[in-house]
Amino acid sequence: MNARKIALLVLIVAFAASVETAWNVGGDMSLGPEGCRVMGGRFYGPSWAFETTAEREITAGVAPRLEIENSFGAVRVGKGAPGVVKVRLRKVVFLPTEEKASAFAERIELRLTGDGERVRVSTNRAELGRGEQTGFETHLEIEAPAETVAEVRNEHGRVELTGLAGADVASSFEGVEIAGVAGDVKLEARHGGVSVERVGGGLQLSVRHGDVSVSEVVGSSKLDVKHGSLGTRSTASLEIELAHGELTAASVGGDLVVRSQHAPVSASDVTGRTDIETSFGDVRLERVGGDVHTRVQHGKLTASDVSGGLNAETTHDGVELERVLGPVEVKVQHGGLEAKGLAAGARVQASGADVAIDGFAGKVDVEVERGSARLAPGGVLAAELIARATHGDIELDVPEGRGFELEAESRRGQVNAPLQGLDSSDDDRRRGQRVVGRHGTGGPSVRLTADGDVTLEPRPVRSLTLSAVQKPRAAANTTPEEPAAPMSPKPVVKPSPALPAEPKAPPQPEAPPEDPGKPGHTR
Amino acid sequence: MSSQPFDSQGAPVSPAAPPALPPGQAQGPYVRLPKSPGLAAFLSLFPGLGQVYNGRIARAFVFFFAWVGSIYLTASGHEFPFAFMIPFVYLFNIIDAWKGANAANARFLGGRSEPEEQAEIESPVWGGSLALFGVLILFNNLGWLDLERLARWWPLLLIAVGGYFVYASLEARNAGGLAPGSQPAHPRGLAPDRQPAHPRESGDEPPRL
Amino acid sequence: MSRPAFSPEGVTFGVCLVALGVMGTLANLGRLELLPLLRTWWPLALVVWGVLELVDLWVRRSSPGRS
Repeated sequence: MNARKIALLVLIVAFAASVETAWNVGGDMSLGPEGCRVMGGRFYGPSWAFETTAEREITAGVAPRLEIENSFGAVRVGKGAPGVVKVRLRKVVFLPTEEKASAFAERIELRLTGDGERVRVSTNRAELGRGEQTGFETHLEIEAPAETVAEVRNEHGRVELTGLAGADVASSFEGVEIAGVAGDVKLEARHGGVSVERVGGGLQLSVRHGDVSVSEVVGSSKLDVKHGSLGTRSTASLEIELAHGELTAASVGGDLVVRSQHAPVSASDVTGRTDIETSFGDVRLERVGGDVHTRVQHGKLTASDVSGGLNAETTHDGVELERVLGPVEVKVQHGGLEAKGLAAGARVQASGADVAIDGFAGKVDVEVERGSARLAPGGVLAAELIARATHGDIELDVPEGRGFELEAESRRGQVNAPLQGLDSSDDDRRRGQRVVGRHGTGGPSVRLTADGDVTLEPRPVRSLTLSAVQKPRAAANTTPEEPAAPMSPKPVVKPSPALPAEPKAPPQPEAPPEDPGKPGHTR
Repeated sequence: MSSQPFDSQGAPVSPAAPPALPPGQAQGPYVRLPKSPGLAAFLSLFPGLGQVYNGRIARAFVFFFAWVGSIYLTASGHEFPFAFMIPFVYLFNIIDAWKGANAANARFLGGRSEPEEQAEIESPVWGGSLALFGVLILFNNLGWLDLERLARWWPLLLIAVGGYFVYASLEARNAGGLAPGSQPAHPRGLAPDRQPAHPRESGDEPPRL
Repeated sequence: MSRPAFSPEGVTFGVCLVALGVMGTLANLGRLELLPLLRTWWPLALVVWGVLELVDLWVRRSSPGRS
């Protein structure tokens, strides 16, 4: 036995284990000396399907609470006729022959219990599962009155809810789809994608390892998503926790609060306040009606059409602003600022790159380390302007018209200020230059200090058009539409007094297997 | 008659021992042994590392994965027999590293080079086992075989391996028997017609070298 | 000890890589699903390797003059 053979054997076994792990991705694994078959949410082999139906009458007018417990099968709940809960159970049994499957299916019971206020739907899987090696799936299709609040607990099976009054869902290892719920929705999902739309109440959601799509939620939403992307559209206020995913929020009719890591954020048409903290991802904001407050580590901030003020801190990347109506306060480490159209002044601290503000009004205070500052007022200088640049230059466009009081100093370069009324002073220094004076009839104070050159360029006045700021488009305030038509009625055989008792539908063999590798596999 | 070295007093000296130095002569230069058994054992606290130190890579793989595999299978719910294998594999790995280092040093002192790792396997068991396990697992994956049912018969493997060891031992013993025509060896080690050497008595002349 | 006719583990490794490459390419082209296929057929690598070991042993034993 040499090392090469051992290494190759280990490599083959490790590869097989990786393939198996990838197949199960988070499912339960039971690798062992018995072999490499894994029962992790997937059954395979030949299978047979059988159906069972049952229904429960409930007192008219009562809003029932429907409690559903299931695993290894889908759960679908839709709006049905008032006053009655109908359940159809489809059993899929994975056994080699129809006879064995039928005999096993006989043992699977549908349990429909409760009264008008609380109806419980489940199966006897827990009892059957003990010591049982047979794989079987139980798929539930339920029709319930529109006033129903459904509580679903399901694993290894898809969940779909439509047209109900409320929903409380906990699901894992398959997707969840909730639509047309008139009231509140609470959802916890693991390892599966989630889609929620048309919710008349609030939404509370926690998802791991799955992408999430939320749209048309009337109430406020609290969303917690990890290891998956989140997309929202036409919602009310949002409170989001996100990690290792991407956020895209459109049309937020309220405040947007985001706490995230390793997550780029993109938000547009936010009518309220925006408060975002994230890392290792860029932030992009468009059309925000309220104030913006952002903290971005290792990411860039781009914001445009902000109707309120803006307070931003970024590291290891820059900030780009366009058309901000309110006061701006920006702190950038290892990055610079490029801004256009700041209507209410700005206080900027930047290091490592340049600051360029083209079109501003109001008081401006710019401090740049290891970079230059280029400033171009939108109109006549009407407020104080302070700019300091270490290891860089300062350039200021001076609009014709109103004057100002200038104090400009260059520590190692020179001051170029071809304006009337200014006196140059060398102060007996070897390097640098200082210029002070009053330009025109005087006015606000302009103090410019740079290690490099300070340059003032006269140019014609241009106006800062505040009306150019786009307002957020209103979020669609929707109430849930009339849910889709109830599930097509199927012939229902009323149960005998002793439940469950239903006619045995003829067994139906499953469709031809889809899995190319395993004959008879059914998902 | 084979010659046998004697010391200055006339007593026989074991051929394996280095010749005795004349009285008063200092010892020769220090010889550094290639492997340190203590270090090999210490490194084996991480299974396999001691064998790597000794240059026996295949053994290192085997010990490491035997240990890791035992832990995994025990944790997966198969306490018997893998829970017992964990301490056994661990301690055996340390002892093997120690002995391997000593063996390397002994080969060095004897002037022999390291034995080559056996490059070829001369038995069909290796290839046959690979193919057999591959076929079993493949048939299980295709649904043609239920390995779970077969698994309950795993102790038969122990019986088969034990039987093989017994058979091999018997075969080796039979192969170590006499060739045709030769006399059987005396149980005491001397031929019946051979007299044991008499101890020398005082006054006798020493045998000539 | 006779030298091997070829290196069974080397051939196995190469064949496995080629097969993996072909399947991966077809999977990327949408012609097959890689994961279910690998999950079922990976033991074929052990079978092929075992057969190659037996062939190598047979060749060596039937050619004692090889050195």
